[in-house]
Amino acid sequence: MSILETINLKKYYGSGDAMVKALDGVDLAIEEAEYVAIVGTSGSGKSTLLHLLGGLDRPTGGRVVVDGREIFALKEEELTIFRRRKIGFVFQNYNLVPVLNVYENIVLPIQLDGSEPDKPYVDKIIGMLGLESKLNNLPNNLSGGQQQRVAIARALAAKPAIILADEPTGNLDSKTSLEVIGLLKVTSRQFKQTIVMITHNEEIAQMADRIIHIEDGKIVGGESK
Amino acid sequence: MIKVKNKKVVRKLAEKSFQANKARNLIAIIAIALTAVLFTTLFTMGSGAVESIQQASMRQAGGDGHAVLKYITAEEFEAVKDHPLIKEIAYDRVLADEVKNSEFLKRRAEFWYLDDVGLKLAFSEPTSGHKPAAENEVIADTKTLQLLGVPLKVGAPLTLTLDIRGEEVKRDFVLAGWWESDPAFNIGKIVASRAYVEAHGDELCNTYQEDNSTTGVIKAYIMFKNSNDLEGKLKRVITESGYSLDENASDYLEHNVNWSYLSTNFSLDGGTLIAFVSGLLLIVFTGYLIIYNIFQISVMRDTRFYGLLKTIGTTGKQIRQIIRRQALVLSAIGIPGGLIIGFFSGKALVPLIMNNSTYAGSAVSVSPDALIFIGSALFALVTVLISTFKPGRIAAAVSPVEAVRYTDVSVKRTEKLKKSTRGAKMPQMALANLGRNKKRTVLVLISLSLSLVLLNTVFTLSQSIDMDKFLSKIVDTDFLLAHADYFQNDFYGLENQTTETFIQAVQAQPGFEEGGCLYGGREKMFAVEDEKNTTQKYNINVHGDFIAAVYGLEGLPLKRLELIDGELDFEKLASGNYILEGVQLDDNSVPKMDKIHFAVGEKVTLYNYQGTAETLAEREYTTREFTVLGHVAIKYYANSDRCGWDYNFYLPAEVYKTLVDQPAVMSYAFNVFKNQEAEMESFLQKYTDTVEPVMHYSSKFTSFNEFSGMRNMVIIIGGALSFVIGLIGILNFINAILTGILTRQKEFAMLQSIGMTRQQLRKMLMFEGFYYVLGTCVFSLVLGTVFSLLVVKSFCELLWFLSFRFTLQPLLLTWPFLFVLGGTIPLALYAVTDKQSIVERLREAE
Repeated sequence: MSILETINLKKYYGSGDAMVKALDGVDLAIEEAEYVAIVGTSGSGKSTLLHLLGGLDRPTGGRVVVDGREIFALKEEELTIFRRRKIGFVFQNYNLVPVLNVYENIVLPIQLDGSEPDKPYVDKIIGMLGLESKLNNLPNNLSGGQQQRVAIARALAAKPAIILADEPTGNLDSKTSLEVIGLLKVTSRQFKQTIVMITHNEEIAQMADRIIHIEDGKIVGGESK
Repeated sequence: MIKVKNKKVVRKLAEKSFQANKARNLIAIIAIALTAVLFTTLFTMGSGAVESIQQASMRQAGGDGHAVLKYITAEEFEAVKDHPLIKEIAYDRVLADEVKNSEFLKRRAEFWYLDDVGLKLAFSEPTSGHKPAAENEVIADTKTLQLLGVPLKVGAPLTLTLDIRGEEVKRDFVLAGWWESDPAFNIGKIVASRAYVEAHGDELCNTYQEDNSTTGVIKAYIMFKNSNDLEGKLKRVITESGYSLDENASDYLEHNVNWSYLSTNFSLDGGTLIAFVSGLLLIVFTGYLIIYNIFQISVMRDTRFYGLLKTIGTTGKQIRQIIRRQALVLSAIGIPGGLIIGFFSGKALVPLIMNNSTYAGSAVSVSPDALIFIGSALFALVTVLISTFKPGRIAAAVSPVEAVRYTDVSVKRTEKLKKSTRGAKMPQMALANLGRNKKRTVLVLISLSLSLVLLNTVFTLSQSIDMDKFLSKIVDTDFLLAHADYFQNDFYGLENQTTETFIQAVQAQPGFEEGGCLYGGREKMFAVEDEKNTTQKYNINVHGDFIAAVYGLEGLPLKRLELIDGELDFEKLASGNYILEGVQLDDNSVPKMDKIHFAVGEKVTLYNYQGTAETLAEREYTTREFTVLGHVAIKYYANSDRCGWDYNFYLPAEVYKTLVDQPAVMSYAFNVFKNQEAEMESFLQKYTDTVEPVMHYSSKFTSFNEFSGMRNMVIIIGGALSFVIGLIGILNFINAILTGILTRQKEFAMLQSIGMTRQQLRKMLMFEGFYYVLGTCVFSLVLGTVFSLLVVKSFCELLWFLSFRFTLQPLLLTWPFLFVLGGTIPLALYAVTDKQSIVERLREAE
């Protein structure tokens, strides 16, 4: 069974002549522990797709099913809670909370959920991402690569089923990019997590199990390796 | 420097960025308007008080001219009246030496002709009826007519007995009109027509030089264009018109300037000036706190914009211009509204001040003086410019490179580590958020605390007003009866003594407990021999003895004498061999022992004239020796003639009567039984209004009311000020929270995307609000306590009727209200701003 499935997913902006079909009937199924890269030109609708997959935005039509749950059938607050338990996000510009230190940022989703962090597990992630010495730092004192590693740790810490990454290496140099993606891949594999990642970087896309091309709001081809 | 025509583009940039800041503009306009309200209120109150005091003094002086030429003739008037320095001149002619109707024994009335300018300057324009025209028409003030028993009806007949150069003449007139008597003005005025003057030209010939008769003399009240250097102008008018300033010259014109215009009479005393200046500073500071905050926040938010401008070549000076321009536009909108509101609120507050000053009862007038508006607008504008100066410099100093990276939410690089694993609990996050911009947080805290501290100060002051201290000084017994003159500090003797009928009427009232007369007067003053006193050079009679005030007391007032030293033995006193010396008390009721002249047991020799012969010299200068039995307190308002003599003695009334041929009742003091005060009060009010209008009284209860009035004034004015400053504080708080929400839209979106629910977000914002409130509470508590103990306490020690009473209750009472505000404002603002979806916010321009 697919961990993530979309059925005829549509997202239109505006109306009449000015209507933009950002997504126009996307059917997609992603299996558990799969590593999928979504590629496409800018404006092709890939970010919209990712936002819909994470339940950040509501579609014009169609469904998204995560782990057997139809997410848009949930109420706003239920969806938020579902999201923080099942989905981890990694953004291009890290989006760390500036007033919290590294450790606090990492455990933030867990604490938002009102639970106690699984200490050995979190420590393990921190160890794998090489952040042990930085735990008390504030995000502003970290390099881009370090910040993104914190963001990844934060995405993994709540043990989500799926990690959605929106150009996670967009702000990093190529050496750091490969390093960060490598870590993402290793850790997610270790914890059997599914990764859906948008990227421009051909080299990084090639590391994925499957590449989905998206063009004008439609999937134009998917290749599995 | 090369001049470049870049004004236009700078203006355009200013306009564009102005339009992009709608929320800021609204808050800034309200803030500026409120600042202007405060300034205008203060200025209006100040100028209104001065104006009203000035008019009241003028009325007391009996005329509104800047200066007056007295006892002049018609020719002299003609010669002077067209002098270029004179703006207006009144032709006031005395028509009789005296009005001899018996009704005017207690309140004199004068018989005049006044031209139109004269009527205006003397506040004697008829408010009902018309100006006198026919020979037999007169107008008068209502009190005069009331005394004459003439009904307020046009055409009512009246007869005046006039003293024309010593000759009594009876003439019949009819009433043409009247005006309301000014309570501050204790002389009646009857005004006849021009036709009367023309008809009696012969008897009105000015003979003042020869026989000092005032019939027919002209008093010319002069108004100059302004009240500067009145003395100099008046002298110029006289000399340039061909007259002399030399008193002995034949062409001398008697003249003087109106004392109410002399600056010394209404100059602001030190205390008022300090209050006024601290008021100004407080407002400037309050205004600064919010306007600075608004602009500083707005500049921070627009840092990238300014960085961009600099990248493409805008100079720092131009950026400063852009910001100043915006400040000016905001002022242009905010200040005028504030001026109008402020003027009316100030106008509403003036009567409150006046009613509680010595000028109570005078009409209050506040005219919209251009100066008030110009001054307030200027101060408001200066406040805005001061407040925007620094933000302007910050914007001008933006480095193009840094600007790109800058966001309002950045945490300073100096803070490297934060040792904490407590993590992301809402309260901690909220606290950390306030720490992002410590300066702003502190400014908001000060701004909010300011009004609380002020409010607390106001209440501390009003609480510290010591009713007992005040009352014990002003009144001794429940009621005190006397002639109205007595209460004007003008008791003389038999002519204005307290009437027996009044006293009997009061004694017959139910509720009357006990009372007693106080005898005294300066008709025939006592004198005392005191060889030790070599310094006093005044109040010495022909025999080389010092004038002394001697009072005879009976019953209640005698019993209530407060002994300071010696003994108060009524039997010994009744023997006629002993006397009590009075000692003045200072403001804190401490006896001024250095002012006493005789020790207990010392012999005192009193002299006074006895007999009823015309002149003092013909009377017998009698001697009486006493031994000082003790010293008693002079209660200025209760047992003195309110003149403040150097020598004061008290005797039982029986002894006093043996010394004086015709003892005059100065006042009558009495107490009533409990719960009968109100009835007695209303009886007295009615009696003094209708039966004996020249009699008057003071009571503990009217003093009490006066006093509560004063307390209320402090609370109302201070409260109003605190309210507006509080509004500004709340506005500042709203601005800070709103900016906090707007600048973190993206951060909130991110938090929501990683799983923060709206509920949690609201909770966090609410905590931020609570922390502001908590900080305000702590800050205002500390500041309020310190201010109270350091400043208010020492202020209370300066004024005798204040006894410092520490209180923080008003402060504590505002806390629940603050917490409600702190909780609801962030939620309301969040609800308003929470319109965009998470994705929209995430995408928002980086």
